Amino acid sequence: MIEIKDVNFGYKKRGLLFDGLNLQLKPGNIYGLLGKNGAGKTTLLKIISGLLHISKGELLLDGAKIIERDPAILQDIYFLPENCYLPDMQMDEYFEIYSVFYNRFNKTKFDEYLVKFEIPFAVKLSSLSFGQKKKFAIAFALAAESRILLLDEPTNGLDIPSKSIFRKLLAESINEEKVFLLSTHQARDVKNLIDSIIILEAGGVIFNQSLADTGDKLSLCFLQKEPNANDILYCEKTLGGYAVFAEKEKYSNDENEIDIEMLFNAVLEQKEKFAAFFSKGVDNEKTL
Amino acid sequence: MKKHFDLQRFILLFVRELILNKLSILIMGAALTLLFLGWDYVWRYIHMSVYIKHYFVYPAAAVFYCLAITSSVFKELDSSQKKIEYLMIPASVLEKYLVKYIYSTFVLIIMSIAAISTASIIVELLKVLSLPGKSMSSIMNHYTYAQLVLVLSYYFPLQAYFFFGAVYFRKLEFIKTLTMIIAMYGIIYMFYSTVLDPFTYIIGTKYSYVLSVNSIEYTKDLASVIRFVTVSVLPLALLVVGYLRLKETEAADGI
Repeated sequence: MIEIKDVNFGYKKRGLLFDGLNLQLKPGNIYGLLGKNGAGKTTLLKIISGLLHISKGELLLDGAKIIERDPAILQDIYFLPENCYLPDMQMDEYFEIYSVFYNRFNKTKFDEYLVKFEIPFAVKLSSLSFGQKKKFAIAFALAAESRILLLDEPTNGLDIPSKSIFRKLLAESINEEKVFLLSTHQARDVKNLIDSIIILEAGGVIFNQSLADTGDKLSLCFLQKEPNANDILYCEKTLGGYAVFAEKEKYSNDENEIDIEMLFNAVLEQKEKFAAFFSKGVDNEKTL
Repeated sequence: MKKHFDLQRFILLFVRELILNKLSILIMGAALTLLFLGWDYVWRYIHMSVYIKHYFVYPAAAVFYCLAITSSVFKELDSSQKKIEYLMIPASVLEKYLVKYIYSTFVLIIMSIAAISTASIIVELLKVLSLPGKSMSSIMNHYTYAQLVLVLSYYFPLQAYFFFGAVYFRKLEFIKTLTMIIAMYGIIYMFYSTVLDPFTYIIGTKYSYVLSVNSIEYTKDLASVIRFVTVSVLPLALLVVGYLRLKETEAADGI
């Protein structure tokens, strides 16, 4: 659905950030976009929204150029920034003005989401707290029913129950036509929500795998003794032992739940090993 | 979906513009009315002609006010959060540009005329109340249709410069646009006085009277060409460049 082909982008003051970036986002998935500070997560979301002009390459949504910012494309892409701006107006006024721009906007769902997030009705948006504003914006973004939903640090400012509601609503909203891309530092907030992980580093994508595939190929084990470095992909000292990422065939684990935070650290530390390991899988699939 | 212009989307955007600016429109209108009332009060003491007040001071103040507001009409682009919200509205760049243009021209002009009229009504009412027996002057008919057209024919080209400045410059748009206009007219004046005037003088004195008359006619023609360019061609060109600039506007400056 979304194709990013050989894209170059940089900021005037900081030079080139992405150099030949390639990425595909397929419908029916919730992607988690991870990366260190300054890796370009927010920039990537802005590029996909057509808010930043790429200097080279192609950026397509179902074959149409996103950068042209056609109204039809803007209806299909909803970008919710980390600090979203809500104008100083009544809540229902906001709904009346903005919802009409989205022809699939679902008022019933919007009301339902507001109730679930416990947002008070008929108040001025400026009177809401930061967290309430964020929840209002999330409710509106989900009700807009855009096919591409880009969320930048969506759980920042949300209280613990709201994070849980957010995960539930997002999981309910995804369908075979939609793509959700969540940029976050709070890996635990999106646990059990995202089905694919994209990790950005040094101007490119260094990891792009579904969690199901990752779980099929990788095993996360906790060992008491330090393993042989050649047998594993990554090892991290933990309380009372070692947490290890290894090939499943070598270290099987029945309760194989991938810890996203640990996976992120592992991929950043062992880029080459992980790249070689997952490309081996791809090569094998191609051979078959 | 119509790609570049859809009337319904355009109306919705226009309504959004009015709702977002309703408070500032009212505040500015009230401020302008108060300013006119203040001037009227001062006017009584300096005994200046009412003609100057109605035909020069009020329109000049209204034009200044409209140009100042025009300069900040794209204020959404000054803040990164507002910029994202504005650029992501599912409407075409043409619709967004036209809405801002119509708002900064017609809405502001109507507002200014309303402010002038309100101030006049209040002044005349106060006059009647404070001086019993004195009848009200004509208050709504200060300007003839021809005068209004004349003012607008100067206003629209000038406003185009400020509208361009609003979309092109970030921060201090009014001052930057004013500097741009002064610089532009300065260059034209220098070109006119250093190249054309001496040319007329040399031709006129060294050669014949006929040549001199011809050269004066020539510079007169050139002056009208410059006038035509600065009042008609350049404002239109700036409106087009402004549109292209908005089309290229990003959430941040990329390379």
